[in-house]
Amino acid sequence: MSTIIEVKNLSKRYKSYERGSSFLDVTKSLFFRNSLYVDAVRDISFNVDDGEILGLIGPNGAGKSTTLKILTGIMYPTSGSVNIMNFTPWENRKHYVKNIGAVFGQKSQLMWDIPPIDAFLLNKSIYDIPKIRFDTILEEMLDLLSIEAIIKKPTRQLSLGERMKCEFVMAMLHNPKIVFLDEPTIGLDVIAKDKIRLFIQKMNSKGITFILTTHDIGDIESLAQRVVIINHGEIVFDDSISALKGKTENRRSIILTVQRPFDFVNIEGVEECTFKTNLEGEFFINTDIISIADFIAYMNNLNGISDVVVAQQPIEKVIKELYIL
Amino acid sequence: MVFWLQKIYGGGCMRKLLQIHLHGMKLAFFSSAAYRSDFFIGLLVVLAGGLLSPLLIVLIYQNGASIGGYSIYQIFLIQGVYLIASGFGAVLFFDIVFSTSFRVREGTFDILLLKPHSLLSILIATSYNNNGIANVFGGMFLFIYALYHIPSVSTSEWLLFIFLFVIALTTLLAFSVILAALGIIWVGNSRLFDIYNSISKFASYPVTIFQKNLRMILSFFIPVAMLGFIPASVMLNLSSPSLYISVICCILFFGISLLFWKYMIRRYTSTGG
Repeated sequence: MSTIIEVKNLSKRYKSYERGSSFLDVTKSLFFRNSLYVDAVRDISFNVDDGEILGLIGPNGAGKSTTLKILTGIMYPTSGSVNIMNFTPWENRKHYVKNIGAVFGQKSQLMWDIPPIDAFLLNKSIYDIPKIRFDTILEEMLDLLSIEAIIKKPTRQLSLGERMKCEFVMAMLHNPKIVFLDEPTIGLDVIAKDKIRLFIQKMNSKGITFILTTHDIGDIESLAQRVVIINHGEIVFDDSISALKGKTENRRSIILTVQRPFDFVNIEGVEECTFKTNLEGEFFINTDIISIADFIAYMNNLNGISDVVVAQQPIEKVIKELYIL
Repeated sequence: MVFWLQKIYGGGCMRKLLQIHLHGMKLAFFSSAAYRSDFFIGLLVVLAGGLLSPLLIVLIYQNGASIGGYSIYQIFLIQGVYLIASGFGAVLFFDIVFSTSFRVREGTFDILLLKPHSLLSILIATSYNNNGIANVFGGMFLFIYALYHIPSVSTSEWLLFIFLFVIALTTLLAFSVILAALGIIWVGNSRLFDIYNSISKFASYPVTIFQKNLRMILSFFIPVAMLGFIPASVMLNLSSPSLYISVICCILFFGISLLFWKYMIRRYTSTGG
C-alpha cells in the first residue's frame, strides 16, 4: 500500500494566558496577563497508508485535535512538514480540502434552523458536485445511514444521533479520499454508534482512508487497523491494533467472590486490585509472574472462593497505562 | 472590478461563486423565515433605527434651525444614500463581523476552513442577513423623496454616483473585514462594532460641517464620508476634485483590510479539542 499521509517532526507551540480566580486576579488580568507557551505537539512523525483506518488516541489535552487541525489545513504548525497526497495542507488549503472530508463530533456543519437537505445542497454548490453524482451519492448515504425520513426536518428537531449521521453525509458528499473524524460517536447510543461504525467500514472498503480520534475504545477496537497514541504532545505508541491487544496477552483480570473477607496480602504478580465489597474483588495479574492456577489456589486457601471469572485484561487498561507514562 | 472580486473571492469561475452566494442568500432567508415573528419584528426594528436620524432632522428643520446651511432635502439625500449603502452592507456582508466572533468562540470557524474556497468568500456566503433590506427600502424612500426636491441630475452625475456607491460598498466591506479579522484574535470585540457604528454615523451628515482635521480623517484616513456624503455630493453638485483622492484612499483601505485579514488568519489558533 502506498503512503498517503507523511508527517515529519511536526510541532505546534501556542501562546496562552493564565490568571487566578480571585477578584483581585481577575481585575489585575484586565491590565496585565501572564503569558505562557504550551507545546501541544512535540516533534511527532508518522505515516498513514492509503485505505487505512488510523486511530489517533490520547488523553484530553494530549495534542490529538491539534494534530488533526494541522493535517486538515485549519492550523499552521510551528515546525515540521506534512505531505498529504502531495499537498502541504496549510499552504495549498483550497485545493487540498477538495480531497478531504471531516466530521467533528462537537462542531456541526449543519444549520440549526433549516433541514439538513439544504445544507447538503449548499455543499453541492461549494464543491461543484454535478447533479447526477450528487443524487447518486446522497441516495447511497441516506440508504446506508437510514435517514431518508429526517433530512427534510429542521436540524434543531433531530436527535444527536440523527444529526451526527447527517454530519457524515456532509463530509462524504464530495467523495473525499481521506476523512478525518474527531470524536464522531461522542454522546451517541450503542445503536447509533453501531450504525456509524458500519458506515465507516463500508466507506473504508471503497478505499477511503480514515483518521479517527476518539475516547471510545469501542471505536478503536471495531474500526482501527493501526493505533497512534499521543501523550503530552509526543507519540508513545505506534503499531497495529493487534500489537496493542498483544500487550494484554500475559495479563488477566480475575474477579473473585469469596466466603471470608479479603485480607490485604501483597502477592507478587498482582498488579492492581479493586474491591466492590469485602467479599468481591477484581485482580489484575501478570501471568508471567504468577499463573492463574497458582493465584486461584492461593486465594482459595486464604479466603475460600465461591465464584471466579477470568478474562483477558481490557485494552482500556493498557491504554490507560500508556496515558500515565 | 474583476480584480477586486477575485481578491475577495479568490478567483475561480464566477458562475460557481455566484451559485454559492445565491444559495447562501436563499439559506439566510430560509433561516430567518423559520421564526416568522422575529423576522418581521427584526425588519421593523432595523427600519425604525435607520429612520431615527432623518426624524431628528425633521425636528431640527421644523424648529427653524438648519445644518451648515444645507436644505432639509439635501440632508435627506445624504441620509438616504447612507441608509441604502449601510442596508446593502448589512444584507451582504456586515454579519461576517458577528459570525466570525461567534464561530471563533464556538470553534466552528474551523468548518469554514475546510471548504475549498476563499475563507472570506465562504464566510460572506454563510453570513447573509435579511434584516438590512428594511434600511435599503427606507433609504430608497428617503432618496427618491429628496430627488424630487433638488435640481435635476445629469447622466454623467448619475454614472459618477453609481461608481462612488460601489466604492462606498467596498469601503463598508473593508470595515467589515477589519472588524471580523479583529474578532479572530480579539474574541468578543462587540464594543469595536459599537465604536464603528458611532463613527459611521458621521457619513450621514455633510462632512463640510465638521472641523478641518476631522474632515480630513473622515475623508481620507477612516473614509466613512464615502458611505453617504461623498456619493450624495455628486447629486447635489457639491463635489470637489478631492473626491478622487478619497476614492484612492478607500481602495487602499480595502487593500489594507484584505492584508490584515490574511495576517489574522495566520494567527488563528482554533479552540481546544
